[in-house]
Amino acid sequence: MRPAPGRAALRVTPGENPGQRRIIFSLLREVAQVKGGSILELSPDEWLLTEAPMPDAEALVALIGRQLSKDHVRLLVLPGSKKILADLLVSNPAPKILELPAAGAVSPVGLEFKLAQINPDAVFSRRSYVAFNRADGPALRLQRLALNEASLRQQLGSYAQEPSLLRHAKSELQKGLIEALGGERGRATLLGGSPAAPLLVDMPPALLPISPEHEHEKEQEAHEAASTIALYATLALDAAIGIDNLATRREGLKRDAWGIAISGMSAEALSLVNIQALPAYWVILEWSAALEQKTSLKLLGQLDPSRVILDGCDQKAALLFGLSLGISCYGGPWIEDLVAAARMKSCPEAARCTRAECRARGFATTSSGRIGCQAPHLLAAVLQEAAP
Amino acid sequence: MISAADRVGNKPTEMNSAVALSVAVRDAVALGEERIVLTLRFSALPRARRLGTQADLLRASWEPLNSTARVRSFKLPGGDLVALGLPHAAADLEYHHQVLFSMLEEEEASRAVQILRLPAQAAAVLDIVHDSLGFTTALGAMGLQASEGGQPDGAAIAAAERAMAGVDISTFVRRQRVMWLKPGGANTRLMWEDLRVKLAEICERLMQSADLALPKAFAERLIGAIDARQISNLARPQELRDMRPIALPLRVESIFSPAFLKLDALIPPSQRQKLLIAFSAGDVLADGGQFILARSFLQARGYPLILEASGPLAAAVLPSLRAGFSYLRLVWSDDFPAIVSGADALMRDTLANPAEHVLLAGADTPAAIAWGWEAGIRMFQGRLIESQRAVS
Repeated sequence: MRPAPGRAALRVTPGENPGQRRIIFSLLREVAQVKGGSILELSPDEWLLTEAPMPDAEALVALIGRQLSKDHVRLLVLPGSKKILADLLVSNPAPKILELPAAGAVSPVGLEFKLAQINPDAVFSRRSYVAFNRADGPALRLQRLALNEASLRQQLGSYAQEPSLLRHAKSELQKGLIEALGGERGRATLLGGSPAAPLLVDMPPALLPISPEHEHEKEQEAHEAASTIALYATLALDAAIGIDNLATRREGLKRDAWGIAISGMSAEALSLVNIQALPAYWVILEWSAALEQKTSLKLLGQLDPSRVILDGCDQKAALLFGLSLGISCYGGPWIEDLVAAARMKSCPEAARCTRAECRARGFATTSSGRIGCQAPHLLAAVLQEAAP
Repeated sequence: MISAADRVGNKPTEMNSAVALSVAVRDAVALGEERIVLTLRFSALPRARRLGTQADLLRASWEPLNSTARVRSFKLPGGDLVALGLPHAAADLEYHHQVLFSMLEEEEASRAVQILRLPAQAAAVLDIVHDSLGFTTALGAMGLQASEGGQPDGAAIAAAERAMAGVDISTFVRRQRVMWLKPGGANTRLMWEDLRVKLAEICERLMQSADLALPKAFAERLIGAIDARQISNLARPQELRDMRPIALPLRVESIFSPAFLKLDALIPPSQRQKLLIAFSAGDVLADGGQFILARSFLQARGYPLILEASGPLAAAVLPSLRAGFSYLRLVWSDDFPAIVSGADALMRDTLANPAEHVLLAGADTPAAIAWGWEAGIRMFQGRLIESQRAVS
């Protein structure tokens, strides 16, 4: 080590994203190979470039700061920071030389077998979206048969490490869900009774119903008949934009009481898209703290709040944020807690169960998942009408 | 605050009413209690009866049922009315049944106005609720299309991937020129070359049985492997020595691959602008966060970005300039003139992108180029372009 003036060391916290870590590493390595210095791993989440000429070090700070954020990278100017550096090296007596973490490929062999073994209850849940129009608690607005990605990852094991295999698994399971929903028995099993509110069904675009051209004389009547929408085909944002005639198909679907919902709208995606161009009835926006940042707020201002479902609400702050924008439809773990509590309030058998049990049975998509409930008709209805 | 109820057909109160009715029916069944149900189903009536004065008269004669303590009245989505009473309200309900019956033709009335009894006829009442929510219609329309033939299993995919390792990928690469072409043909010049792997041909060669449709996710996986090969080919010394502008379609994930990072380290900084990276809109929106990471890296390093939109919807939903792309690549389709009334209107209103940043690929016919010119597009790629000569 040559702690000469005009040089500096760099301390980086590369974060958890493996792709990001590879980028940061190759940026550091590029400088190290040409200008000297070594890259050391102080701990799995802290790396050190021992030295680099000042201009290169500053360029790296700017580059890495842009990639991560300013507080993830620290410039240690030499020789001023010599002591800090020495301490770091002393407290990490044997730093290992970092190798570029390789991207391992997962073999797809046996994936079908794994998929066939997955019990729908383990990956699908019956979720509730509620409105807070009244002062006296949540009112059921929509239901959704949703694929729970965390559970799916757990079920798939190592296959889930590969995004394309995970996507394939999702689309296969969604196909199975639609098939089950088409049959009367399957439907009753999935929902625990008849649907209590319009139902959002996650599906790949290929399964979107094809509405035949209605005969002219019937058109007027049919158009009128579907004043309600019973099922919303819930498409992932990236899949939906591939359907070029979506706007035209939406009209045909409406006659058959079908609507379109778009899922997968994160704060990041929101910053990229022109949401008005989406021919969807509902846009499911995932709550995150990033939504509250200024840029997102500006974009949110362009949203029609009556078409937005704020999902993933895990705390009261999410609800308050949504209400401040005029959003009236909410979902997420915190909301499911409210739903279970409201259901137990009107349930004559509530004394036998805990809140967690009632919540879990509400989520269930198989009969066995509901075992133990003494008021299955209440469970099927999710929520009773609020007392007048 | 604008409530969703103001704009949406399914009013929450009516929705709750449907839920409340099904709860009441199930309650009665669960407890074995007797209930009398009167229904007035507008949805079973001819159009003339459902609208205007006639409907108002029917509703007016229902009105007393809304205010008796012995009867609970439910207004379902779509307007159907259901009253549910204890056995001692039977005479009252029967009276209203007669009144409504007398107001309608017999055939109409027998379908729309009914007395039902719980618990015996619970299924019929629940069907009414179901209908009112539109489920009967919607489930009837549900497309359970016969699955589109077989698809290869994991083992077949793995075998194809192994086979690919021994194939010279460059024989499957199609190079096409992207030309700047103005009406009249002045100043025609080569912008860059488009390097694209012909996936269909690779699949045909690698998959044992050609009639199998490759599921989308597996195709992505194959493309990921092809990306790595393409990138490694570019990192060869002879390619780097004599770099000409090229556009390379990649998956967002591929930017984080060791192969790309190795190439990045080998390309001299001044040459990076000659490597244009193209992402598909679907891939960008599949994981917006990951795209933003890749974008900030690529922009900082000086690689221009191209957005590949599968069609006008993708281009409209993902505005390319705002999302940080230098160019937008549209693929010509014969539907274009039909989808958008005027080509310039598409540019102005839908794409919100200066036409000189737009590239029209698949320009195999004079019609495509004519449409492009009308839209203000000056960059073209396609069979017709391959026969053009650059001026300089």
